[in-house]
Amino acid sequence: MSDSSEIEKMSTNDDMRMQRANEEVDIANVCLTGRLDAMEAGGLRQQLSALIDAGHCNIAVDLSDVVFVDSAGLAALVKGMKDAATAGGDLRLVSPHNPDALRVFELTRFDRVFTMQTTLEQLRSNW
Amino acid sequence: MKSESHGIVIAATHLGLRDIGPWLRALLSSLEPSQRDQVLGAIELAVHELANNAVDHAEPASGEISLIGGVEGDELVVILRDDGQPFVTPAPLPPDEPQIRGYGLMIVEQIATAVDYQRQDGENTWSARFSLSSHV
Repeated sequence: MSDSSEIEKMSTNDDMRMQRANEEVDIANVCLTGRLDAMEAGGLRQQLSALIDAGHCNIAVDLSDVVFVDSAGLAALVKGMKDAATAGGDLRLVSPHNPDALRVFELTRFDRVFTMQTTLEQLRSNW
Repeated sequence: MKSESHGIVIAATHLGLRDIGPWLRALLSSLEPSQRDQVLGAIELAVHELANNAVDHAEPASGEISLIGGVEGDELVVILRDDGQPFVTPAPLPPDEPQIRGYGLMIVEQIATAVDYQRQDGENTWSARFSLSSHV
């Protein structure tokens, strides 16, 4: 079933409100590349805090081109997720394509805690 | 960065940790490339986490961490030494609420087949063994 046919079948007011809400959500994008390790984690924390302080409490972090994530990088994302939730929003992830970068999420079970999608388009459309 | 035949001394800084990956790759150069690529990422993560604990918590007086590694049969053995503060076992992580920090050793224990810590003569010594035939 295509997306368009699903939209066409929406007929109740509740469905339509949900569709409009998805289109109107203010989502800030943070795109990372290379290594998200202890060297980079502090900068990411500051970047996420600045976004939340500026009122952008829904944040999509694109990890698709990240090749390495350690526990310090993970910690920066977890703190961002908690701070975003406290501000009434959420922090969600585009999964790393590199299995070495995904490993830390799997080993700590945070792949079950974060909302993760394979593309930024999917993440935004399913928000 | 000082290199020995199977050893390396890195700066006890977050930037210094980035020398670990290339050193491990060279250490495993005798493996078939496909086998090496299967195990290298997980081993790098584990050794990186052990060294990062030293950077963040031990604060070595010399400002350095020494690593020695070697292949023993089907395993890679890596030994890390620093002259910083003794390791203190962290409190267990609560089961439900996601915590922000404290996952480093948990990660190491899942990747390594064995991990050992000793405090002797003012030095912290970590030794870890990694399978070269199966990967996490």
